[in-house]
Amino acid sequence: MKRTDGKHAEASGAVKILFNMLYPLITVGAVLLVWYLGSLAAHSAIVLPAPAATLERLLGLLRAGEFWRSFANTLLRSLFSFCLSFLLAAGLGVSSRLFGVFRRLIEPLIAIFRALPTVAVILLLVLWMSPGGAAVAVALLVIMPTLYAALLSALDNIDQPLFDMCRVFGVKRSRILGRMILPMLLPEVILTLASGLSLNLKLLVAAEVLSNTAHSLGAMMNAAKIYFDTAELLALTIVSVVAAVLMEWGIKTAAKPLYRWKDAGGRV
Amino acid sequence: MKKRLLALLLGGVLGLFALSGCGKPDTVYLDVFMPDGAPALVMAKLMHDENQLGRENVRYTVTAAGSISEPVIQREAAFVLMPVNAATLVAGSGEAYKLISVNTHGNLYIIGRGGAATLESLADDKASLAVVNLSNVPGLTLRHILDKKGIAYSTDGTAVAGAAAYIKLHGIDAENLAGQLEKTYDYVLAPEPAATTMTKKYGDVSILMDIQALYGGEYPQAVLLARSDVYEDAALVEAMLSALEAGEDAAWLANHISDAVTAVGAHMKDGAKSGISAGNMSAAVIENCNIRTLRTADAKAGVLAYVDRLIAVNPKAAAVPQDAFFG
Repeated sequence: MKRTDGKHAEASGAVKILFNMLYPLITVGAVLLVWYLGSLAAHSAIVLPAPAATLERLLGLLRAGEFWRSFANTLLRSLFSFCLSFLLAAGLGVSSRLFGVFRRLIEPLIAIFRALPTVAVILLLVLWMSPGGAAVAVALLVIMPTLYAALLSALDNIDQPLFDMCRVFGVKRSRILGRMILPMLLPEVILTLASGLSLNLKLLVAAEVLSNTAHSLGAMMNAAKIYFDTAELLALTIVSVVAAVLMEWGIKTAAKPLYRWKDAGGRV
Repeated sequence: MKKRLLALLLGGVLGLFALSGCGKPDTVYLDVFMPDGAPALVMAKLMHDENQLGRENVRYTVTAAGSISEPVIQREAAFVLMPVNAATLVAGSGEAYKLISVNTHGNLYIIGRGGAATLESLADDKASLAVVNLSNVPGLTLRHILDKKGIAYSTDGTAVAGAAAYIKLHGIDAENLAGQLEKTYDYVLAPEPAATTMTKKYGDVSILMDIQALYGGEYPQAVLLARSDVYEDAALVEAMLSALEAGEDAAWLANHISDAVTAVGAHMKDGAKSGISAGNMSAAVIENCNIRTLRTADAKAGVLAYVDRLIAVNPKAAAVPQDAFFG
């Protein structure tokens, strides 16, 4: 009986994995089919090249040293700007949570940053900074307010009575931080990190295109656009999308063990 | 009763929709497109006169420089004036468009501060040189000249490792020209009339070098294409070429600056503002724009030679046009 149950469990597990892979494949297949039909209708490689031509160009890019140099530069800039954004957002978020006056002073600034039109900011920053610096600064100005709002919301959601209870029982601050606050914040922070990093990459690439940052994915996209190489433009777009998706998935997967306690019943 | 009334009302509404399709068919226009700047001056007299080239439906539109390829890709343009390298990339097969003339022959100048300079002196100083449209004709032409002179350069604004003398090239957009000249760069390669505009705006800036002289003469910068079906109408093509040859009389442009500026401004797409204004135009600027119509028969060899040089600098920047491309 047990053996049958075990085999049945294994079989249903395998089927589940198969379906988890199948649905995305169906979606991607449908997108490729629509793309192929669109390229036939467009009848112009400049307007919409066929998927095969784009794949060929993508393989060519992957063999080119300049591509990897540009890709690495863009990724490093993205990580750098995101770390800066996160540290700033975390500092401002904690300060806002602890000091009401600070929160009231900072929130109009955050609202302004959130409302800034990205293109206008890039055009101004290019005058004041180097193209690479301008791209980093743009990503920071756009992402930081989003991270600030998410982190502050997570901090606000921690019950005040829990703090009161800790104080009554004389719990050390380090223990409050390490055993209560951080574990409670972690799921929200991880989600924010994952989606924020992905968005940051997209913003950075757009900023690189507009500021023509040398040796970057954005500069390669700009050149592809100038020279009507739509196949290369699409190939570079696919690279950006895959990188963003992998970063988001990678963070969520790597961080799962950190908040396994939630599934175990919330025991700290 | 109510249902009948509702049915009648709905039927009436549907009938109106059906009838809205009837009526006079939309007019088919012959659209002529050109980018803002010197190419727009090529057609200034035609736009001023609203020259219909013997037809009744010719429409002139001046676009932003970066958007000139769109009407070609979408086959919207009956005639289009555009940079030669872009023309070879989007229409070089000759299937959709034919080249019928070359209309500007070089209008690039290096402006800057500090008095007389040469490319060699800039290299000795390891100077930074901003280039409007580094990836296109201006940058490619300059790089060809630098290669010919054996002057080292970078295209990302960095130093050239192992070189005692070099020029650091930086790409900038035409829209950022004033700001970059004010804050960042002492030397800029810019096309006319933007070059003269900057010398008037900043008293310490002057035209230092003539790219055409450094190149060794003229080069085909902007070319006129005719859509293949339009090209079949020989009378129409001849009407266009003849009108251009008459309109580019330097005397007309120089004596009707205000009319030319007004005509260009009135034909800007979506009411955008032209970079050409009465304040930045003069007879000298018009001469610097190097406007002259050269028909295909006389221009073909020059186009092929120039395109070869652009490809030697950057293989992606142009394509060798097929024979069918030359009308």
